[in-house]
Amino acid sequence: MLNWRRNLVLTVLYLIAFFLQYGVLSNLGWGVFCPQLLLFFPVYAGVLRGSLPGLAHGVLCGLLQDLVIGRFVGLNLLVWGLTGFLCGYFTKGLFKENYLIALLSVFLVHTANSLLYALMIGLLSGSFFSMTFISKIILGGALVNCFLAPVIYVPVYRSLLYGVLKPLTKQN
Amino acid sequence: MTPNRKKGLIIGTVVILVLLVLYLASQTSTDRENISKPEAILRDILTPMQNGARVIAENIGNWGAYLEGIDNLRAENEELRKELSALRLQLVQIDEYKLENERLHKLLNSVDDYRPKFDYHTTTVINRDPSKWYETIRINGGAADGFAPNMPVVCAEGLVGRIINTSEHESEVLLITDRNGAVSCMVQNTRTIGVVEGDNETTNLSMIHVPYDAEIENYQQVITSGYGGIYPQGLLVGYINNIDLQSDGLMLNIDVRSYVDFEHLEDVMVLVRKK
Repeated sequence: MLNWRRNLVLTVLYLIAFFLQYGVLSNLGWGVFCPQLLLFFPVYAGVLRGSLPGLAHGVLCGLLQDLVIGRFVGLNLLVWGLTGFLCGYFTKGLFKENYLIALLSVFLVHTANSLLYALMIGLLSGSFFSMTFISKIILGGALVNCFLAPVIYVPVYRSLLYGVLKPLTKQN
Repeated sequence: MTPNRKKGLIIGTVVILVLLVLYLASQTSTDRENISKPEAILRDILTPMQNGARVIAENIGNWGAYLEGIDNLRAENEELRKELSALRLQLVQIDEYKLENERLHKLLNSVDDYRPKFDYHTTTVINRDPSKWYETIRINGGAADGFAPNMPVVCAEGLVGRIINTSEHESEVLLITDRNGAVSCMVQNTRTIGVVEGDNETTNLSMIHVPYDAEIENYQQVITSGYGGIYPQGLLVGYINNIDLQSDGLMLNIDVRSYVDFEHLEDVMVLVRKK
């Protein structure tokens, strides 16, 4: 019950991101340029809080996507969980004040996610996507998500340090 | 418990979980007719929002038309009225042919059932595939409206695809441009059989398994063959755009173009088999 305010805000943020992405944005016909709002949860949890929160948010976001997409259920859960974990692992010793980290992490996680997802589908179905198609998805998504990355990172970072998203311990 | 044993236990659990998830993923590939309850609920919650977003997107797209002025719309309206009158006359003619066909069938004691086997249910497209990896669309109407997996979906310009799963109020349609959406087809004039498949990346289609000596030409119409049991015979798929001989010299590479604008599908019809 210590973190109830934080959990409530996170739940609301998840709901907003999910319904905005799959209820509205994916319907506007932007194709590969549609932002992936759910991507920012595992990436920023990994960068700012570490591997395990990155993994947990990755698994949750992946599961939500799997339920909406309805094909190869569990694959997004696996891929997003892994990339969220790795994101936290590789950004452990870095200065989080540098907003370029947010941009770079979003780009790398988006690219790794897409490549891994395509590879896994290929292995499971026996039919691989062409590299042209994969690069189109990666570049389109990277462009729009990297543009959004610093815009979202600043308030999240501040909130995690001083605001409502700051995790409370018994000492606080 | 020693740290090494604890570590081993964690790794073992993770490996088992990953294998279970991979098994689940392999079991839920394209041809999954029954979606789970949480998926169905989520889709039905999203449907009204997606409808709203579609209307907003359409209105934004229409601003250009408003700016171009009402004169263009009047001219277009006039043109459409003329076209409608011509089509009405054609419809009467077609009805005549239909009746004549029925009479001739009776005279010949044909066993073929000449009555229409399908009801056409018009519905709207509410969303394209949200993941960008597959060529699917979501349409209004689901199990509650009598839609079921494997029902063919068409539009005025030709074949669109087939329903692969339904929730209560929404259905997912696999387009023929998806790499898993292959259709058994034939060239209308020569009755040459082949398989039309998409590449997932463009809206181009190709007809495969056609022998090198097939007597076909560019611009001939390609229709469904009726084989396979999903699509009835005679649905328009497209036309032959280009014919090449494969490197082995045994089969033809046939480029087929659909008349359907898959990027801007708005209204489609679901073919529901008559009981």
